[in-house]
Amino acid sequence: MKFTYSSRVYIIAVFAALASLLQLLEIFIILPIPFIKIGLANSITLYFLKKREYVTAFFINIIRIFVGGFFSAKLFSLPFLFSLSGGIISFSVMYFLIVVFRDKISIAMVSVMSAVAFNLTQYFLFSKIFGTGMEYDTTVSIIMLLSIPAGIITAIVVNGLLKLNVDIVIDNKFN
Amino acid sequence: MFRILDILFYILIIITIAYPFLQNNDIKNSQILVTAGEGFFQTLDSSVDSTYHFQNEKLDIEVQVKEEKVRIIESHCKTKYCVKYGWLSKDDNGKIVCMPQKVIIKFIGKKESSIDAIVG
Repeated sequence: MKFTYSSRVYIIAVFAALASLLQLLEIFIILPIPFIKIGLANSITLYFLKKREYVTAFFINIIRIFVGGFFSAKLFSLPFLFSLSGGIISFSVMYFLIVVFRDKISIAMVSVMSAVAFNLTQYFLFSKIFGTGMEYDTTVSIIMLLSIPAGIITAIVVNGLLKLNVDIVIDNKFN
Repeated sequence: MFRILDILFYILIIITIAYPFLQNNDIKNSQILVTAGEGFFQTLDSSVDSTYHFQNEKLDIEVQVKEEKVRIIESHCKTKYCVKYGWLSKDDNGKIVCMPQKVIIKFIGKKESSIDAIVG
C-alpha cells in the first residue's frame, strides 16, 4: 500500500488525531493499578520513528499530548505538565536508541525503555513538586516492572503496523 | 524481533529492578516519619501502639501504629488510595502516599531524624 501526501502537515494532522484518539480511549481501559497506562498512543510515534520520519514523529507526539490534555479538561494542569515532560523525555530516549543502535535493538526494547523513561520522569517531577525526595527504593523497581508489559504491548501494535507494509510518501518535504 | 543488544538492556533493567531489594539496610527502622508537603514533619515511635490524628487547614488524616506497623485509618481525600494501601511494616522499603494531601509515611532509622516534630 502506498499513500502520497503533498505536505508533511497532512500526515501529522491525520496521525496526531489517531494518536489522540488512542490516548483518550485508554481512559476506558481500567487497570488494577491506578495512574498506570499502557501508552498505546506512543505506538504511532514509535512507528514513524522506525520509518525514520523523525520530525513527523516529534510533532505527532507533542500534538497528541496537547489534544489529549484539552479533551480530558486537564490542559496546562499538573497532570498535563507530567504528561508533556514524560512525552518529551520518552521521545528523546526512543530517538536516541533508534538513531544510535539502528537495527541492533528491537522495537520491544525501544518501547520498554521509552515507557521506563516516561514513568521515571513523572516520578521525578512528582517528588520535586511535592518535595518528597526521589529515593532509589522499591518504588523505582515497581515503576520499572510495570513499564515492561506496557512497552511490550505498544511494541506489538507497532509490529502489526509495520507488517502492513504501508509506504507514506511526501512529495514536498518542507512545505 | 529479538536483537543482540536487547540482552544488554534486559540485564540492565533486571539489575536496576533488583538492586533496592538486595540492599542491606543496617539502620534499624524504629521510627515512622510523617510528612505533608512543606511545613509539616512528625516522627512517631513504631514500638508504641497508638492512634494519631493530624489536622490543619490542608491536612486531615488519622494514623494508627500497631505492632511496629503503620497505616492510615481515615483520610480526608476522595480516592482513599492511602487508606486502601493497608499496613506498612518496617521490613517494607516502600511508603504510604496520599497525593491530594501530600502526605508521605515511611519508616526511618534512628540516626536519620534529629527533629521530633515541626507543625506549620
